[in-house]
Amino acid sequence: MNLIEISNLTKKYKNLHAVDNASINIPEGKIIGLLGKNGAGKSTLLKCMLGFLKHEGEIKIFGETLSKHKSSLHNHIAFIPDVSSLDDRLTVQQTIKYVKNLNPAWCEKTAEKLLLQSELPLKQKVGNLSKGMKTKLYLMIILSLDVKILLLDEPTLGLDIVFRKEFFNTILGEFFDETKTIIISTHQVEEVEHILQDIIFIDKGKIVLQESIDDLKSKFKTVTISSDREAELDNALLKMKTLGQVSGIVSSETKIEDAIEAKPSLSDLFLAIVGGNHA
Amino acid sequence: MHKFKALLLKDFWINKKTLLIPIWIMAGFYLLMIISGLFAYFNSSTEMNFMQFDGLESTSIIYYIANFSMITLPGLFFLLFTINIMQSALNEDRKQNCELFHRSMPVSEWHICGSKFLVGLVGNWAVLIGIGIFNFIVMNSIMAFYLNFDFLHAFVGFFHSILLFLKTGLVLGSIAFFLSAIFKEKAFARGIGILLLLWIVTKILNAIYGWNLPSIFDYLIEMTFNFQSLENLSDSTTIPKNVILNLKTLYQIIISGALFILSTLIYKNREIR
Repeated sequence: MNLIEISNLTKKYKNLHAVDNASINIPEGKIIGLLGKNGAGKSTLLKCMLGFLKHEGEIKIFGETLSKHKSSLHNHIAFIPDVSSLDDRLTVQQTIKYVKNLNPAWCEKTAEKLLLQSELPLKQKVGNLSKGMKTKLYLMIILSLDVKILLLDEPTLGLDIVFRKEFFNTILGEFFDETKTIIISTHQVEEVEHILQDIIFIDKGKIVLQESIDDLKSKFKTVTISSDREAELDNALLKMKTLGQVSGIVSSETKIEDAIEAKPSLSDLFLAIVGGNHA
Repeated sequence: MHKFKALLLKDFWINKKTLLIPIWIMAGFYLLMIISGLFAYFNSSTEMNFMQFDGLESTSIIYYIANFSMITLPGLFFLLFTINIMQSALNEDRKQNCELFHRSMPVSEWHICGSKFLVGLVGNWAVLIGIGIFNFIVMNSIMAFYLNFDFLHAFVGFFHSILLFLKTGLVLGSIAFFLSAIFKEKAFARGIGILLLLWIVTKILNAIYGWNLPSIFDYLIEMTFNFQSLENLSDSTTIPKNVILNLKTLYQIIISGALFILSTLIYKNREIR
């Protein structure tokens, strides 16, 4: 069952196509990665999904067509935008109380547990918190909501590596079950790769690929050979040179003698399929 | 209702400092008065006569005018702060970069706008009434030493004046709120600037071509301020008719309601970036 169905979605800013004729389906019970370069249209796509932006094309959420923003949608969908958009004028305690009173999906038990882990200064104004602390607070609030869909746009921006690991390895895992769907848009693809089930590549507003990670990885492989045999990788989707060796992403059916074969990483696959030098 | 209460509380937390500024200004004013009074008292070489009202037949008009006038200063602060809060009501979240956070909550735009409108308006009303009551007690306690206390006229003066300010604040606040839905920055100044420009153009066209084009600016001025209510000043029986239960009050409420509805509809249709 698809929770979100998007057909021919287009969002223009003057002459720029931020999202260009995008069609994707988001099934229930999956953790999906949304990967694209800076300015590829990831954030715009997520905002369109929530009806925040006017758009062309059709978006169906829970089977219902969404033509503009509907507040009732947020009973089932939680969202973390790419910039810390918490209200700096409130204290940490006031922010928590505000969401708790406003959102029926609030789960006090989870909140208490997460609050204990996060060590947030309750009396401090949000505006006085560091970027990392703000992100922690936002994550703590959003993960305390018992919702069906979680949209995370660069959710760990500004966080230290310890909390980032803990978030992706433990906290998010505790939130997730087969009835929930999580869409993560992130640049730190290596950190989320192991928890993702599906992947969407977006480039210049167009959806380049939507596939399960397992299927995608089974179609390609990384082969490594010595540099003097570089010509054998001329047809590779991506070539990477290292000291005395050259690696390439090739189709899984390609046979190269005496090559070291490995499963490709998601970032290498992104570079191979989308191109460019960074994801 | 539970959600609306949460919104009201949040908007109160956010605006608390601004709402309390008139109280601090009035406290400063009182402090200055006390210091100057004490300074004058201890430094004056001659005996001071604070008030001399010998031979007055009735003190009613004095109590009325004194109580009517004492609201003027806090009333002006009230209008300024009402405009200040209301003109940014629908833009402040965007400026503070937290619009996405607030709009990602399951609460309707009518509730969001209603809460901002109420806190901006009723919050300022409450401050004005609070300051007014305090002034009323202090001033009448002092005056009662020198004149026979006339509670009825003192109260009528106070009530009359405060009602005029509350009504003016209602319309001015609603206009500022509406302008905040249209303009992102300096909403009130821009809106009034445009209206003034239209007013000048209308006057010029009327003068050149002999037309009789109506001016929206004149209409808003007439609807906002309550000059004609100052007739029959101290007659307590005219208060209900002249200040509360009249057609103009009804128009003012209708205009404010209409401006609120329009503002919310504009807010609802805005893109959230």
